[in-house]
Amino acid sequence: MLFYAIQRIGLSILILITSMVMLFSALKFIPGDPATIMLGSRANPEMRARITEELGLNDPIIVQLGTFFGRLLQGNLGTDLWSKRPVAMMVMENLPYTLLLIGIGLGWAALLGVPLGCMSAVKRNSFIDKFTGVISVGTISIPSFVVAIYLILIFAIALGWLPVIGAGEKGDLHDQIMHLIMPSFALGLGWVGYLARIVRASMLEVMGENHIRTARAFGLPEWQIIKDYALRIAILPTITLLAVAIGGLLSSAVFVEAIFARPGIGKLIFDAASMRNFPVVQGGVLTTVVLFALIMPIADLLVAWLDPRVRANL
Amino acid sequence: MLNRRDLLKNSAVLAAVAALGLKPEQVLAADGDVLKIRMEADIQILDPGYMIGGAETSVQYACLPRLAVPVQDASGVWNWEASDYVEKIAQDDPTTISFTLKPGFMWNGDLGEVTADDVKFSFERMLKSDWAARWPTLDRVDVKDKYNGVIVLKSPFAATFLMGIASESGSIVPKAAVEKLTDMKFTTELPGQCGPYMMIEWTPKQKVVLKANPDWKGKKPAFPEVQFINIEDTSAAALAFEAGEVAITNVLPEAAARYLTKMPAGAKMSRQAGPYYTWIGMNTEHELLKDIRVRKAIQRAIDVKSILEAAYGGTAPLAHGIIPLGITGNRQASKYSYNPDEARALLAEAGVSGLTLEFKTLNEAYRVTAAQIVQANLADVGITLNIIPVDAGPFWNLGLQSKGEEWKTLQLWWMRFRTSPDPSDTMQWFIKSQVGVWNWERWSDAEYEDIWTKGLAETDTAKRNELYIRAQEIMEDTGAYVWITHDPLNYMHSDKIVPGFDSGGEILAELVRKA
Repeated sequence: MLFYAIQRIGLSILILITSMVMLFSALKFIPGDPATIMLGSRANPEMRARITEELGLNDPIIVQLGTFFGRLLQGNLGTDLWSKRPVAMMVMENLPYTLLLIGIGLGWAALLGVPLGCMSAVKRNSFIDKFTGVISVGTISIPSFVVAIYLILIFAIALGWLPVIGAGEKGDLHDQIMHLIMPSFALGLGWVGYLARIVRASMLEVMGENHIRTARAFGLPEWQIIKDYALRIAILPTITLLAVAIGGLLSSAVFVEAIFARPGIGKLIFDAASMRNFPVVQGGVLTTVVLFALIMPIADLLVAWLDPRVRANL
Repeated sequence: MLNRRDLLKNSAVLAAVAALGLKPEQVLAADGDVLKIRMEADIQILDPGYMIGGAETSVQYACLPRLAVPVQDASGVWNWEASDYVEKIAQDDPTTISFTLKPGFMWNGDLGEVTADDVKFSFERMLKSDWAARWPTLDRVDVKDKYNGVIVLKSPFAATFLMGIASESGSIVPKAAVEKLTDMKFTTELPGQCGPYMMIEWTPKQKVVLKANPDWKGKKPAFPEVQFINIEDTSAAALAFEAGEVAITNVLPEAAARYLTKMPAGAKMSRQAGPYYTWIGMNTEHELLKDIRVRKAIQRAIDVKSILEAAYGGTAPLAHGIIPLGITGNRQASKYSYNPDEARALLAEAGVSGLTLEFKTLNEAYRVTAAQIVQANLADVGITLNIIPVDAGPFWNLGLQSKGEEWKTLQLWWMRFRTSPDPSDTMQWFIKSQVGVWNWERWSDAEYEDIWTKGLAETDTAKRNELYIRAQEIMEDTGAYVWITHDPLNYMHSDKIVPGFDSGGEILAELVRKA
């Protein structure tokens, strides 16, 4: 188990280093002069020179790379080119909004998806199973920003029930919750289908295993077999899936946050990209990569800890 | 760039609107005392020397003093007038402008009164700033006493007011406070405020809150509180407007076209002439375009009205030059028009057939749509056009001689510039010294150079108008330009308010009135 943990953490560190190199390279390999791209048609030689200097683009590549890694090791994500605010501070201001959005989105996706998948497996080939299948495929295939737009049209514009823009007033919990409903629904909807399909497949596999047959032979009630013996095993693959989901939701959050003009790491990256504010883009993307690189080994270790069969194979 | 996601998103909006039959009834965010205005990008730098634009400009106008303000005359042309802060401001002779500040305008905090020293400090620091080009002939400001001063120019410059004093570059900052700052620069926190509003809150990526300044001695603003709500995506802003969460937002041309056919209840549209000029350029030095008859054939082969219909939803005006509406020198007619027969004749006269050309454009949906119309138009006269969408980085380098050799192979392109409300700013990119910099068409003309020099010093508006119209004729006669439009700014707003704008189309909170 310890070796496995070291392996997983080592892999995450490797992913992080690769991502950092790729992020660094992104600025180097974009066609054209980064300063001109940032300034667009208003670029003049003085402004170009200043931006080039601030980005350190006059230094040799190896020095730039060293500076980049040196800064990151100190937790310094750089400075916003325009407002001069530390990128780390901007990330920390926005990250909680995204984590909350993802948490709520994923939470209700699990609340709906797991029972649906379970029901679908237990009532295999029934109307419920088929209906769940259609719903699952439907929700998987609709992008979150499409859901977001329809939600706004229905619940904000046509019915006027829910607010659209922002994250709600500071200190007003009710307002903040109201502002979370539509974005979290839009974000989580696709994962209802994924979770339902995974739980269904997993449940069907488990329900055919010997220990379930034995439980039935002992005359245990079906609901107890499902709850205590089948679902506990069938749920394990969803832990890994949820970890993957967080990665997927981090990218979907960009669109949802942009449409709802909600602060968050996705919107921070989106806005910075549209302003060609490369240090903020780099800092934001790096944060999401770190998050993902942290979550994946945690999920793997959790599965290994929960499932003796996985542990036995390590 | 119209990528898969954009396509899906836009299609989804259209499908949703169509499917729901959208009942645009709304509660608009202008009720009571709080006015909510959409801001496209968050504020980044409020310092007039290093600003970016957008809502920053609105905050500067509302919270910082200036000697003059831009105003539109009855014909819609931008001019200037003395601001609330001055007893008088006048051009004494071509190189001196005297001013007298009104006493009693106080900076917030302990910064005291707005004085002539603040004016001197604010204007002279612009000479070393990113926006020094707005003050090309400023020499110095002489302070006579606490309230009186003289702005001295090295040489006459007709646009000193519109590009400098009455623009956001003319914002006055408190000397005592700015001198204490690192590098004497500021970003998102104003070192001192004096204006109809005070910026009291900035929540990054969310909103900027202005509250009416209780000590303000000028005309009281209509709304005690104004919130600039940060909504980056323009389509999302339109949805927010329909949901009643913002009272004013600009909208994209396709949305404007939709609103014009079905205006939401309680809403109005204000169409503001934008500070943009869009054209199709041709490289006069390129082997395939060296013959002026070929260029003139292309001018006549392109159906600009169809482009305006398809790419701008019919909401943009046809341009006849580069100087936008509302600016001295705006041209009302061109010497050429869409005439494919004439184009074919010109090509035949030049002995050109089977011509294949390249058209480069920024990779944005509406520009690519426009390029496709150009492609079809040119195919109609026997020219094959290959459209090459280009990302921002390489695009802005295409004609820059300092950035490589690409200018040599550049043929046709779609271009849009922005201008301040003076024709000298608009025209400056096409003089001889700009060949290989921003004059990608690579032509020069002695008369144009002469007009350019005269226009800078000429202070008579009628004479300037003539000069700049003639300058655009010269440009047109090169055959290197197909005028497209002056992209308008379409604002949707509550019918309970009357919005006010600056010359760049930014909403000015202090000018918004209750209807």
